[in-house]
Amino acid sequence: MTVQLLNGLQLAMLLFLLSVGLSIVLGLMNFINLAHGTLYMLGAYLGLTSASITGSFWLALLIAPLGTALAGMALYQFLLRRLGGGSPMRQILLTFGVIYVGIEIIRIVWGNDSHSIDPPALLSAQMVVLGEPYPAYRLFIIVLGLVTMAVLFLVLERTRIGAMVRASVDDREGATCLGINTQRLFLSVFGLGCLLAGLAGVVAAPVLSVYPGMDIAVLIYTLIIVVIGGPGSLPGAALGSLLVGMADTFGRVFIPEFSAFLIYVVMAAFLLLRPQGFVAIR
Amino acid sequence: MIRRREVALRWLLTFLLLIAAIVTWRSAGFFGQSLLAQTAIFALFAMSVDFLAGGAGLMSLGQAMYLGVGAYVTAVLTTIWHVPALATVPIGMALAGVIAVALGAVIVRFGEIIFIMLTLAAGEMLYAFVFANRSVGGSDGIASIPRADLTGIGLDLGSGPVFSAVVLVIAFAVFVFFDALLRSPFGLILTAVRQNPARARALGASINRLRTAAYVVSSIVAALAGSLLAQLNHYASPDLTGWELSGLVLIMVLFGGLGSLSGAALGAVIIELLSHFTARYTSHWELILGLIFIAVVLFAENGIFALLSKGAARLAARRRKERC
Amino acid sequence: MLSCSGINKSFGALAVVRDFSLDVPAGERHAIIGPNGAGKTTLFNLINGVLRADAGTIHLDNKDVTRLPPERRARLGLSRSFQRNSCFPDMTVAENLATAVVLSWRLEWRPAPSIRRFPAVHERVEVIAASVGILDWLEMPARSLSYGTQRQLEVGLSLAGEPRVLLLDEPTAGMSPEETKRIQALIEALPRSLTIVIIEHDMDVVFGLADRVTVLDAGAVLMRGTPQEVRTSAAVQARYLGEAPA
Repeated sequence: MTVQLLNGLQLAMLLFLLSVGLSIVLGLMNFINLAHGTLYMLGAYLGLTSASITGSFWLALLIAPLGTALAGMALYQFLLRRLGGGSPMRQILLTFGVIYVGIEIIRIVWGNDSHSIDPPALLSAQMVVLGEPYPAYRLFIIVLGLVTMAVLFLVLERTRIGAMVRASVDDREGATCLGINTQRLFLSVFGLGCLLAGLAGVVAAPVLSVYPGMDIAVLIYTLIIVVIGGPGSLPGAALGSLLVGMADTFGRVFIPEFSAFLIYVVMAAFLLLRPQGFVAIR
Repeated sequence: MIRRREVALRWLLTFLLLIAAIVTWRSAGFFGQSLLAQTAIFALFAMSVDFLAGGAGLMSLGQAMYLGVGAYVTAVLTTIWHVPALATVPIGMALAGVIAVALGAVIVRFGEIIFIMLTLAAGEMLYAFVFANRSVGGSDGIASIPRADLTGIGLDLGSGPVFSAVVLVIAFAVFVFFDALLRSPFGLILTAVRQNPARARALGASINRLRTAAYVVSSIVAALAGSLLAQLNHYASPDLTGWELSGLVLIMVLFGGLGSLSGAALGAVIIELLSHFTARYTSHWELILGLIFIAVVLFAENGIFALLSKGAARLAARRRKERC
Repeated sequence: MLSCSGINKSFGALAVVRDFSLDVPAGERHAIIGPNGAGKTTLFNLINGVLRADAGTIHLDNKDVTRLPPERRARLGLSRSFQRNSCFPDMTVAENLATAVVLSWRLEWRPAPSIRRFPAVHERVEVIAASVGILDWLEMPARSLSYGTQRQLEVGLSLAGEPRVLLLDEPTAGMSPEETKRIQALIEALPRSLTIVIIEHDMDVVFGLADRVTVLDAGAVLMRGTPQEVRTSAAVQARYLGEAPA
């Protein structure tokens, strides 16, 4: 039971890293990057390659998120910006096209097989949590997630930049009137979201298998979390990730054939009962 | 009252496509018949998506889900319960309708971004369900699906040319259906809602109900396409339900021209032919597809049909000048 | 015919409409005037159903419509024109008006292959177009019309459904003097079976048309009375009429 709870928490943390960027960007700019899962996948593959080249997991942990953030910014600079003002729908469709391209590029460069990397020596031991043995690496993921959550929360609540983000999510036009450069803000938040996606990818590589196609399943969960949590809300993303992470983990254990359904049932329930999301921003 | 030139152009394009289809049909061999039938089915599917996206303004990345429902109802009922294939077609369409009503009623009230996310999620839900369940074939899918038995009216669907001819007739019927729907009062209001929902509401339009109706109709036709596809290939696989196919059909629609109806059919023809010819040279067709998608969104927003329409307008203007 | 009682609406800490009440008997022409930001359009949004009031009730012909969405209120005979031109830009003028007619006759749910099956629709479209003076533009796309003509279409749309209560939000906004006169004549010619509430800044229109006037200031009723009473009221002079352009 403890093991399952911890597994659920670990998955929740991974999902949080993925969904928080997406959620804030949606709240900020009314835009969603459907290629977000692709960035996650890229992070995992970059981590794979840099770990095997440098022999160090910790270096991979540094390189992969940065590489992913660069890829995301390139995507924005060369493609998304071309669509200028326009409706966000066209930009969203553009990112959908990127999913096809991304998956094929991964296939071309890395092939179709499934890969995995070993967790770093430092974290390959088993720890004991509440009387049960539990891999240290998974605890690392949980800690990493919680630390990120705390840092983001502090930035959002206590810094000027955070205040600007919250103001812009609350009222975009008003924020621009106040002199906040929402365009530059969007760029930074978008870049951070890509970074976190890449981080999630490389961090997940030792526990989940790395293969072309890992992007979609995780994308769907991320989208569900954003909808349940309410766009633009960090606590919403956190609670949503927790819910989905736990539901998936426990679903697989207790009702394996229907675990896929369970998430959607949860989502449907939320849509019906609380359509504005956990934490309603608007 | 209704834009006459556009409707005329729409029908002209359809007739041109039909003529091309008939010419192909007369000369095609076994493989050609199969490709012709598959193209006609995709044209049918594309028109249903165009009605939803172009007519009702609802961009869905999950219409393949209903295609999958149609395909799998046929697949499961014929192979496991030995229901005659012909009967499975309306059953699949009915099931799709029920699901669409339940799902649609909930999700149409959201903004277009959340809507697109939820349709994507719903499609993947069916994919996950089918993939994980051996009882509906699992990851291997279901094979040996029989075709409908129309020998009672003298048609042997086992023959390639007969099957593709029947599918062509059905595709044309679907075109006539959607064309009529778009020109009906329902279609007029749908167009109004798409252009200015607030004003339509103030005039008495029940936006959610109208959108749900459009979603249901589109999904039922998608299921028809799915059932036909399963019978064509004697095979149904989870890939029929997922995002790749939903995206593929959307590309066809955007390429051909959103809202033009026959443009969607044309887009289906072009993309299908393209995919078959590139498959000979590379296994990375999806990369090309993705690039086409991106190019269409960036540059050709209104698709081929808009180009044709502009050309026709210029021709008409020139003729008018000559008369003066 | 139309009555509002105790309407309150706030956005966050900002109270936009405060304890507004109004009783408009059938056939009356009631004008609502007030400085910009007084909450007039918000009031219309509340009556029309686009916004939900925080408190208070709205009755249309003695029927409680407070909880009803805009489309239901429209079907009960409440029609509204918008301050900023709000039509269907890519449809022709005829199609625009046909939309309004089809919706008021609930034809959208009737299975029919073509709208041509309903010649009555086209007849009604021509009648309305003629009455608002846009008959010449029937086949033109709405977006290609001049501002003034679009404004006429806007009024036409709100009349097409044969409403019982008409909310006109600054119908002459941005119009030239001739266009204003034309719209004014149009509104004055409307039958008394129609109850009209009009928001206006143009005082000539108001004093020529209105039976009664409500002066709104910062979301609350400053004064209510006949145009003459309002014109001579010292309070109104001080607050509004003194600075307003005629």
